[in-house]
Amino acid sequence: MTSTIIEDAYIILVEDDPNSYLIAEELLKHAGYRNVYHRSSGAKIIPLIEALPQIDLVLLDIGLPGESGFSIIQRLRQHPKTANTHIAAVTANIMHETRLRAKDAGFNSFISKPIRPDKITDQVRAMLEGKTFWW
Amino acid sequence: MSQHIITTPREDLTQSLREEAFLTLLRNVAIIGGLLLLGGILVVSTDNSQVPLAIPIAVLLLATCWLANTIRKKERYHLAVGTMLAGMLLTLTFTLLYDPIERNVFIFFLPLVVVASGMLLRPSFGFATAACGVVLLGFTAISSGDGMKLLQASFVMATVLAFLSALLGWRMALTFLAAVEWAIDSYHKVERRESQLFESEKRLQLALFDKDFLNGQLMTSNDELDRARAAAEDANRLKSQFVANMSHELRTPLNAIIGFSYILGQELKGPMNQDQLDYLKRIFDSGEHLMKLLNDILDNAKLEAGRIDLRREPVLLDPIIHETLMTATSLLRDRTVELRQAIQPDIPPVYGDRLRIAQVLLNLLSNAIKFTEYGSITLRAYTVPTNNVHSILHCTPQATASNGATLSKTPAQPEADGEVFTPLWFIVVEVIDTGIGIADEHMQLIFEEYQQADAALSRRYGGTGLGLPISRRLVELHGGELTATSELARGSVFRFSLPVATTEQLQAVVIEQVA
Repeated sequence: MTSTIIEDAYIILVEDDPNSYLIAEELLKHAGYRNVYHRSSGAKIIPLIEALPQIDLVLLDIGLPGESGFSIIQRLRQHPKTANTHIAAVTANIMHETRLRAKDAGFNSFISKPIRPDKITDQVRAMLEGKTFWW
Repeated sequence: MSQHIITTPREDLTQSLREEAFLTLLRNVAIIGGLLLLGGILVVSTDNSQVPLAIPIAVLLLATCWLANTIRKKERYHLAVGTMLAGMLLTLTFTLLYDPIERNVFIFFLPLVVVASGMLLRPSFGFATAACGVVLLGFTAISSGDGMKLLQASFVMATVLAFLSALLGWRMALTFLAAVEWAIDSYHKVERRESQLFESEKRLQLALFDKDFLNGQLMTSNDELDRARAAAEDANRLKSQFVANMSHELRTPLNAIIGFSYILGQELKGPMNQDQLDYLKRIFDSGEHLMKLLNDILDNAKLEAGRIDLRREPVLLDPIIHETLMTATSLLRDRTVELRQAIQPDIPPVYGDRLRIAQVLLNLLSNAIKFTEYGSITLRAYTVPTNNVHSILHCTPQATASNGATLSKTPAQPEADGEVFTPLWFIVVEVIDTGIGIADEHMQLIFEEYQQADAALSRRYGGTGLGLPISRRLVELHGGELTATSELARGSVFRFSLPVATTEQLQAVVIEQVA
């Protein structure tokens, strides 16, 4: 977190289910986050990154149709702006192998789907403060 | 062979032997006749002044042989033998015309005919033939005027010899018949044995055939069994796959229901009146309940398919207990139930999957809260040496619950990543409540899938009926045990064991962190 005010953090949600995205965005915005962006696939994520002044947190769905989260994170890690950004894997597949694979792929956290509406703002805050979630 | 006569086997054999003997006699006499004829012709050729005796004898013998043989070929055995013997007797008698009885040597051949008749016809016939021959010879001698010579030694001797031969022939024939009988008996015995052997062989072949048939059937059955098993396994896999997919598909819209009802309930989109808030809460709670149900069904399907893999590591229980107690407190709401904890200080880390341990603990705590209206719920955790774990899990050391109904399988052998280890210590966690308790007859039921102790209870208290079976299986996957004891209206104790992490397991983590 480079900004002193946590609500100024730039957060990108990559999520194909519009309901999940809407709920998360609604809750985050209500919690005070002003810079929440959404993409439903990895297709236009690099232009978005380049357009933003900074990126503090990416919540990346692993089970996207088309390009998977494992592939998207590789591209993100190659980009200087997101090389060290906190990127959380979001998935309904909570199998141990998926967890291990996410760790190997360079994810910083692992959040199981469904996103808990009463917990997500706390989780985001914690991640922005540098904590990681693995279970 | 007199094959047209149906006879017993013994007579048949005797007859065939006699026929053989008769043929031999026939041949020998014919040969003797032939030789006599040859000798006679030789004598005639050197000195033809007188026809020697040998020639008519030979002619008579050969004629007799020819006649007897012809009759024999017509299968009139007795007649043939009679003809033969008569011919021979006549030949003997004929010699008397040449050689008078006092110097006739041929009369000593009479015994031969006697013996032959005894052998070829009937043992006693020898006497008749002897008498017949003697009378014939005597009559011939008397008619040719030699009657007085009959009293001379040679004829008397021939007579005596003939009757002795008859006696001898009779004895021999009897012996012969006895031998035949013995042979026949032996033959019968052999035949019986042979038929027994044949029967046995037949039975053996039948048995072998049956065996082959049964083997075939067994193989068919095995094939069918294999197919059925494969089909059942396929079906089970498909079911698990279906359940996994379905719960995922169901969860996505359920998330929307839970999420949006939460957002509205938090009045993020503007103020709500009391009824609206109440209904939104009901939507949210129902959604959460459905989510719990889905998760349980998914867990159960995975456990059934053996597809739950534990992520085991040394885990400290304190933070898990702390967190589950926090959640449990929120479940208590305004009930006056005291939540106590009695955790042994410096409790060592266990070796397990922290998510699953938390799941088990939360399940037991929420069950306790669900069924306890007053009193307290106590969470205990303490270390126990491995050899004491069983006695603690299978009896009731405390007074709170004393009906002794224990429900557990044999102590599970802890297994981790294929290697078996035996930890020296276990941690036993107990959830003790003062709730409604469980009746003895329901003790078995509560650990069975989709079962609840009482239908009325399930309507009143809700729940999926999967929580306890899942918890038990998860504990068993850790190498521990989950048991329960209870007393109606007094309360229940649920306790489970988890293996304490061994030094090696702890060291592995340290090495991992260093690396």
